[in-house]
Amino acid sequence: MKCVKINIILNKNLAKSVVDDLYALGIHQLFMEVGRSSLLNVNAGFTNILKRHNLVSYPVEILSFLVDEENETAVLGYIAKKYDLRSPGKGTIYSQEIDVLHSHPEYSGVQETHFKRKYTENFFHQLVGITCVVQRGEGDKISRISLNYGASVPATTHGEGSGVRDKLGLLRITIPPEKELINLVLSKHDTNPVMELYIEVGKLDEPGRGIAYVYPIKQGIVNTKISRSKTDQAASLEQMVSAIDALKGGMEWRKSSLEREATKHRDFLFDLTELNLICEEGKGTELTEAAMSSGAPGATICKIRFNSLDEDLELRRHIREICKMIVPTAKVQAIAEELSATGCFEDDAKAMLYSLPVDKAFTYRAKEIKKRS
Amino acid sequence: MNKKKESPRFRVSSNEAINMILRYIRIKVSEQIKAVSGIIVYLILFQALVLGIPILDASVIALGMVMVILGLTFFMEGLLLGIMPMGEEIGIRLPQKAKVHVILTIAFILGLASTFAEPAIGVLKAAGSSVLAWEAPLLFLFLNKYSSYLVAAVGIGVGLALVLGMFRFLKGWSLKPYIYILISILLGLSLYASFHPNLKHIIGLAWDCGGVTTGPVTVPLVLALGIGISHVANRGGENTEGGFGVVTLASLVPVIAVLILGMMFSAQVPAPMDDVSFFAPDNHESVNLFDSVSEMQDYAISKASYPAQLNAFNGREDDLMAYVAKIGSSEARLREVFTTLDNFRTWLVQNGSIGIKDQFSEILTLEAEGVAAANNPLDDLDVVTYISRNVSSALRAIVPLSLFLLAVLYFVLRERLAKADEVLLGLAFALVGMAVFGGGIELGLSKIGDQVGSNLPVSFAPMENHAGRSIIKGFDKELVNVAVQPDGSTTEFFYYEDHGKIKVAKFDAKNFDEIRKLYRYVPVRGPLFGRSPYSMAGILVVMIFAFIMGYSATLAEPALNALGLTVEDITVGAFKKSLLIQSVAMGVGTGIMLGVAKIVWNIPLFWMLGPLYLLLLVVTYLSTEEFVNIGWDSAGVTTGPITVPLVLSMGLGIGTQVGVVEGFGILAMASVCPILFVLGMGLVVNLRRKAFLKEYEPENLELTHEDVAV
Repeated sequence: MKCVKINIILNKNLAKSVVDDLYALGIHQLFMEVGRSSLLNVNAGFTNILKRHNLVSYPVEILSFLVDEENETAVLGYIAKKYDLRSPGKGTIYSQEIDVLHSHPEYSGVQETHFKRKYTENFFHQLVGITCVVQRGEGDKISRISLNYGASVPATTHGEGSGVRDKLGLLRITIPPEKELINLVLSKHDTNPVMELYIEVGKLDEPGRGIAYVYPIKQGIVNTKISRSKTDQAASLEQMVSAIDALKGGMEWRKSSLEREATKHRDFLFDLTELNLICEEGKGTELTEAAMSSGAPGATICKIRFNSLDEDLELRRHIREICKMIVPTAKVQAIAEELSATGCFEDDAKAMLYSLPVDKAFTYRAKEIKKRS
Repeated sequence: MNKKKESPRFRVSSNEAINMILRYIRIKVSEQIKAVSGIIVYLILFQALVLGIPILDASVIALGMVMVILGLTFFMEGLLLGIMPMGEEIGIRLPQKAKVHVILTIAFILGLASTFAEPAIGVLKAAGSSVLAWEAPLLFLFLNKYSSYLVAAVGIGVGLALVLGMFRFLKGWSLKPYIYILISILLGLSLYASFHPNLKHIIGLAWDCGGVTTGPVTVPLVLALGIGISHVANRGGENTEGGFGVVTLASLVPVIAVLILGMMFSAQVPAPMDDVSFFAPDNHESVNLFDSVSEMQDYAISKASYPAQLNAFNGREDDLMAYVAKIGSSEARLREVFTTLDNFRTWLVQNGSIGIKDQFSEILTLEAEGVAAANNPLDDLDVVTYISRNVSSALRAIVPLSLFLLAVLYFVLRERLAKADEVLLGLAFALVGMAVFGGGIELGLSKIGDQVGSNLPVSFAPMENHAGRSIIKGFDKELVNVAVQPDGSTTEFFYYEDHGKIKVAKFDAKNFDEIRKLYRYVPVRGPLFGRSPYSMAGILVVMIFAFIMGYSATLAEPALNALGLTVEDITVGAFKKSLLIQSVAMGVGTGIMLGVAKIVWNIPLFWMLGPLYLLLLVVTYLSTEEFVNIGWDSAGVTTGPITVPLVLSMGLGIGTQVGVVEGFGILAMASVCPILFVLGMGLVVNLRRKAFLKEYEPENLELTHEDVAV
């Protein structure tokens, strides 16, 4: 079933109010994930001498929920207007087209909203998302890239890697499973240089460093407040840039004199799909193993909070796990069947599986000389 | 699961495996070296450079330090691989399968068991070893005869705390009202106690109990369990995010329990008095403090003045002498009562009758070798008991709790442990780590801590320097002169030539061997800072020392590291571990510094704790729920296996010099200050965030979903 997933990234203090608004609109089920966003602290005073730009982190909440295409712009428009996401620094909102493959009946799937009329706002359409998965502790290095580049503000979340590590027996404890996921939404024409910097800074061309992948975004508004600086003008630079963004209907005009040529030829991977499996806490590792037996290379498992207005459950486990897997598109069917066979979409694990297309991805690949015929 | 395919194991060559393990060990060990080296280097430098005293047993201490680092490495890894995942998983499963009353029962048992598993009573006994029965009878009773009651009261307190904490998670309540209510009760009880002659001495004990009960295994376990349980809650469970808060309760409720226990027994003990009337034959209540009459007599002989000793024997000197003669003839009894041969000798010189002096003339003589050997009889290490003691305390801390939780998982919940191999390996690591770590503390850290602690008062007061003592041969009473003071009292002294310099030395009868004409000369050092004893400069040096010691010891605490990692993980790095640990360490340093001030100037504990806790109530009211939970929990984890022995040796060193009744309260101060620091830091962080994210405030657009259209 094709539908639209809407993602909102906002300062944590606002999360409760957004959730209440969404409930009022008829969105009764949504997922929440804790993350952090960062800004460059330009006026860091004395510390400037030591570090050029300090990174200041603040907690954010990443909300997501499913709607159908008809309601998409209305919801986007309402939230964008109410929380003034047009102004830089307020937050990010975007929509993605996804395909729900299997789902436990607990998830209501596409939710109807109460809008009578449609609301249209000038959203950017030339957007893509990049997610970069690296070892815990490396995240700030990656976050810095898009901030220094002036692209947009990333949101970092935590997860645990599962894959080759779990096949090592007890030797696995020597490899820390903790990962950081840096999620970034940015203008399409910034993709290549940012991706190249990701690979370079994150050393993704070395084994065991991580992966970065690019996926399409339907439309949205991007947070472009990349630095914290005193404003002594009528409007900050970011405000002006974002005003021009709005006038031009996109960010393409910011032609990049900055844009750097990709110096190296990179072997990107194509024909991939991101599979997301949401399940009860504690089931993720087991289900990842099942998926791996059908060709998934591994997964990053994150904890998310499942918020639902259904009040029938007194003591409900609202923490779920989401297993993100980047798999060859050809194997999606087989993996879905394998997962289905485990019975995870029934009451045992209350799972939901949806897929998103991936434009391209980059990670270390072992030289394939050893491969026997 | 209908179908299960075995995924093939990944093959790794043995060479690669060794490389992986070596890299892993290198990373983990270097983490601990970073954490521990600060306190080690600091103590060594302070003793060698500031106090100017050589380090005794340096090689044993070095071995101990290596053991501390290795032990901590294993223990931390065991916490992260075994104890915490096990706690979290059980916490997740419990509310699913068990009814509320079952969960609360399990929580109570866990709290009770954890107190018995990691008994802090040894620590408290050590802190109270200078307590005299007649000065603080109630305190003496709880530290000795009724110490099991004390442990039980603390256990029940921790059990109740866990029940309250888990109930809070299930209901999604805020921690703040709990704090307001508990602190009000606590301050009320302490205020009442501070006006009661007997109860006022157990205030320090009660507050210290709160700090030390939450040990390095209990804290991470309870934290993880809380994280699991807090994943299950009604909507609006934002208050209990992260599973913090139980540790706070576990350090507050036991204080109440101990104070109540004190009130229950305060009628049964005599009021504080001097030792002569305490041991008076008609004071029958004093025997209640001891198991038997002979134990009381032992105690009188080792601690009380001579007239009081006579009183303990109904005024019959013959009985007393016969009793001491019997003690002197048995090596074991001698150690039990006098600890060292030297103490026995001193007793004989000061109190002995001619008959008993004759009987023990061998001991009365001062042979150079004999003195050296007699002074350190307890220092030679019994390897077998040393190993078995540390192994068994590690077993007791980890095995019963883990078995109980695993039994709950398998038999009550009928679930299996995911990654059971990893958890078991983790538990084994924790066990090995704890044994090695405990042994290392005993050999290394407490040894150097004792040396520094006992020598510390030299910075503000004159102290005998036993390391520099010598035997003067051919000493005669005729060499002794008398100096007179304005009020007519006299001091005996003699002249002593040391490397061509003529010094004046006080004469002390207990160092004089009349038979062989030997005198044991003990030079006096200090005060090193300031001109006169107890000058501000000297005390300031001690306070600065206390601050830095508290600060650097806290950086190495394993439970705090576990808390820091949890906080960082739950806030996805927005709240950095290092920020938390730094503010807690500053808080502990400040607290210990204030605790030293309490001992030096003998300030009543309540007048230090009361204002601080009142201030805390205000700061708590102003702070966000997130910081309140983390800040208050950090108070419980600060006083761990590294800080406590160091604080105790320092407190004892200063306390003995100053002559206070009891040295309790430093740990309580070290618990309250970190809360203030963390909450204060939280307020600053929040203000800053607000200041530069002002634009994040939603403009109150009066939009409803009806009029969203254009």
